Amino acid sequence: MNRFLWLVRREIWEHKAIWVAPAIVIGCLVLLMLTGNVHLGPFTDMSGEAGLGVVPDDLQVKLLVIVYAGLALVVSMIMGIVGFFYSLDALYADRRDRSVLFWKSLPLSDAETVLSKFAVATVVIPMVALGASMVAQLVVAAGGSARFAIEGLPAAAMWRPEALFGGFTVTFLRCLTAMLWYAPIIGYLMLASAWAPRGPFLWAVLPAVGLWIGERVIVGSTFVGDFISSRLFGLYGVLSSRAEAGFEDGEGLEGLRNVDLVGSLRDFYASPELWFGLLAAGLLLLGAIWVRRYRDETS
Amino acid sequence: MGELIVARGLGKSFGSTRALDDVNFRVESGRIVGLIGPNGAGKTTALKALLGLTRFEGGLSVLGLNPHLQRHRLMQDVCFIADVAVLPRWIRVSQLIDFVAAAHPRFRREICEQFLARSDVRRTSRVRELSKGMVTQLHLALVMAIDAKLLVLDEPTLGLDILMRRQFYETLLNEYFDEQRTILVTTHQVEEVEHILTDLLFIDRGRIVLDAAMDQVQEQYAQVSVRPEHLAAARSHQPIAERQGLGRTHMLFRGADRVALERLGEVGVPSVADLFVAVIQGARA
Repeated sequence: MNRFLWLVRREIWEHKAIWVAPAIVIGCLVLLMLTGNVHLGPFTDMSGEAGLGVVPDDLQVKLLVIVYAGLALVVSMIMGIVGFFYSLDALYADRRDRSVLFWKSLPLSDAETVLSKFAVATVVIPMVALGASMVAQLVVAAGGSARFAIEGLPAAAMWRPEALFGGFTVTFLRCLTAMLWYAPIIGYLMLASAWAPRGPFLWAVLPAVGLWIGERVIVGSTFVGDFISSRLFGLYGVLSSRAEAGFEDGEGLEGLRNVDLVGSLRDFYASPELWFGLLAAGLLLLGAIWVRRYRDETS
Repeated sequence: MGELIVARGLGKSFGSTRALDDVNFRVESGRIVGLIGPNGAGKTTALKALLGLTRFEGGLSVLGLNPHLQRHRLMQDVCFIADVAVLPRWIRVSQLIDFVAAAHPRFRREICEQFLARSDVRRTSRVRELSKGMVTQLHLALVMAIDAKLLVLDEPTLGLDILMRRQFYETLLNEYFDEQRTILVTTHQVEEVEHILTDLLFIDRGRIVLDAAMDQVQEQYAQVSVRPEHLAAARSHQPIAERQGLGRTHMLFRGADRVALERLGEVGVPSVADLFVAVIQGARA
């Protein structure tokens, strides 16, 4: 197990984007706060005379949770991009520079190696996303409360523990969901990464695009295209279908009460899509291990 | 522990080319074997088969294991340097040592540190910042700190200057090698390894064309600088190779009578390079 952690550590040494990208995001956020260029979503509309004071107490919390969860969404999307390129590079970079021959000279099994890289994409990167989201929340809370204080609004509202905790919980659940949702995509990218003679990006993307266009031209249906786009971009729908319904149903501020940030997740965990996806991820991962193990390392 | 490597009818094809064709050899422990052949002879393919990095036909056992199927276990006792350039360029020296220490149960950090202390390699440098010679020193320090039964070196000194090459092999021989260890090295810079080898394996066009211990070679083969007046007589002893030198003709004999040869000119031990050329040309003729 200790060896596995070292393998994970090696990945973090090599792929600096895993921590540099969120650091840049936070840095930008701090900069925004310092320059006073803050848009606090619903709050900015309500500043002024009426102010936060007229918003009922429970809705204040809800609003803040929505703001914090939205913030986390931005951070998570950036980490999603990091994860995408990490997965494509994971089993290819060391073949490109031939250092795979060094790694293979150590008594490490290829299963361990591939699983450690999969763990980085599915556990470490989401955890970094989660951590960065929490820091982002705190930055916004600090910046927001400072601004409220300047405008004579109740600054402490931003720091309400229920709101911070609520934002954190929603983000945690979303990270977990994203990890499960994207597991098969990560498995697929890693298989392409292990297999591609060169340019894993094209080797990963072209078959998918080819199938999609081929199906449209030859059969005239869009099953493949729909499937791919739902797997790639459908997560937002999964995360927020009920939340959006809440926005639409309600009228004005009172509608917020109907916003259900976690309800759609319950639907997701009960769906066969999730479980078939995980099965597919497992198979793709086995494929990646097999290719990594048995491909001829020709120099 | 006797035979470390046994290859029986080892074969491998790339398309229609036979990279290895019915290769048979054995390597005993405590030897330093040179696997020597021209470019494209099948050296690297043979090593990759030994290291479980490629599929093969026929029988091959390394430390009693099938390298293709039991690669993971094999790597506990086998160490290899495929090419000096293969250390990951992004890694720091200290990270590399930490990682190998964690990954390899037989790695002894203090030995590695000892070797590095003698070099110019700094712990905080990244591999890409090191010169080629320093990368080799680093890799060698890592490998020599691993207590392996078999060390495989594939062109380990490629691209190094002659000082570095000498130093590489001297360190290997004096500070690493002992009776418990076996080294298999491929190179085509024969001159630099010949004084450290105990056994020779010549390979050409996927076949083993010579398999002999060094002392056997010295007994069987003789090189004679034939004086011009003895040319005809010398040729009657059927030299396996002949080449022109300064006013002399150098002939290589196999299994010829020493006393008879003494009469033709000065008799010496052929260099591995001369032997190599003679054997390869003979095999191709």
